[in-house]
Amino acid sequence: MEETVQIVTVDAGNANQVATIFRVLYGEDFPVRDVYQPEVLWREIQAGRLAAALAVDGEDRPVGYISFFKSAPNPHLWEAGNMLVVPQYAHSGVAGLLTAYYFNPAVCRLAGSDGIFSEAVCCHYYTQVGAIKAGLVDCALALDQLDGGSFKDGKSNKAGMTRVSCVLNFMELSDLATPQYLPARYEEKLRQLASQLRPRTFLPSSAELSQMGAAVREDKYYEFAKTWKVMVRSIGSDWAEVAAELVAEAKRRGVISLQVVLNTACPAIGAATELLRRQGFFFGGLAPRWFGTDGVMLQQLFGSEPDYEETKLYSSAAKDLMAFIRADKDAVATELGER
Amino acid sequence: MTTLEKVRAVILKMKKKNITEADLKPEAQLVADLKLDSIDMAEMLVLAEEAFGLKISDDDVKNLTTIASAVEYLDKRLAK
Repeated sequence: MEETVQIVTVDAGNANQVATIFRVLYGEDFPVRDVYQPEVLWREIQAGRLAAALAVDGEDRPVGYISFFKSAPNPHLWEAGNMLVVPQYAHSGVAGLLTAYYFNPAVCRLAGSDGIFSEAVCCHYYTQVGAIKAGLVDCALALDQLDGGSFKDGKSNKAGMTRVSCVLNFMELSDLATPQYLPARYEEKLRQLASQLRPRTFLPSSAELSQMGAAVREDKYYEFAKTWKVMVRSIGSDWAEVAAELVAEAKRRGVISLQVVLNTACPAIGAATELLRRQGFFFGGLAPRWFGTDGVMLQQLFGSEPDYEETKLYSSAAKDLMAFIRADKDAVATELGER
Repeated sequence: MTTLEKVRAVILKMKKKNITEADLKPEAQLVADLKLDSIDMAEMLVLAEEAFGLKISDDDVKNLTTIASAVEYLDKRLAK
């Protein structure tokens, strides 16, 4: 079966086949609407915002799909996602062929980029196993990021988890030349996570918060998931007010998962981290190359407690990270007198 | 515990409602008989790696079609 399958890059001539394969699995209900619009896909590909490939059988019928898109502040960082394989080929190795098409470093179809990341759900092992076997490494863990009810098929969230955590895994494709500042509190763990990546230089973050300028940030709010991601490119003199306002605004919006990624290019990242902890944030992990430079992710949950027993983690790095995060979450709660 | 018993234990640990110990005959087909989908197969791989203390490649997984073939594969790997 697998022998007859070929992987082809999506182009103007075959972009209409993407909709065909999504209709096989999702009908008209797949939430990313672009997949049903070949002209939009092709426009995104031409603009350099999307890279995608189809697996086609011996009769040129689409049987699998994989895509890469830009979602981080760094325009040279790709997120892998929306991969699917039709049921008849689920056990045929097509998923491996699709991932190998882009993740094989010898081929380097995403040459010139800083790297590829993916967010693998923790309600099953499938995506995590695929990512690790494709050569990605686990760097961060976003607790309770997704609404368990959004897994409509019932197969991928068999335990019926209310919220689903995600592992952020990464493959680095370029060297990072500039030094990275690390907050002292998390330095050891961050060095350990970064040791899976290309070599980089670290400096201790001992600077005070800047006396000038305002924080520069980008936000992404996923209302359906009640998840708010805040990416802080630059930390300003207003950081204490920004941190307090983030928490207040999250409560007003009914956010469940609030994630803040701080840029390791900021010498005051240590002071900024301590301020976030005083607002209830705890560790999330390393977000490699998020800004071109790395990011440190902190997070906070509102009205949600992770189901640690049902959370499925494949790699030892992810398991260690979960233990670290859980301990840090408890420590923050104790420091704030919540326990 | 034999390899066959350990493989059976791995599959039972997955807590699939439709699978009982009686279903786990050596000739049982993982997909056709036990109805394991790709998500189940990934879970089986993870549990088998833990139980047998080795890493199993994607290429090897797709050749594991029956319980007997899984036992044969694991015995070969463990003998190396």
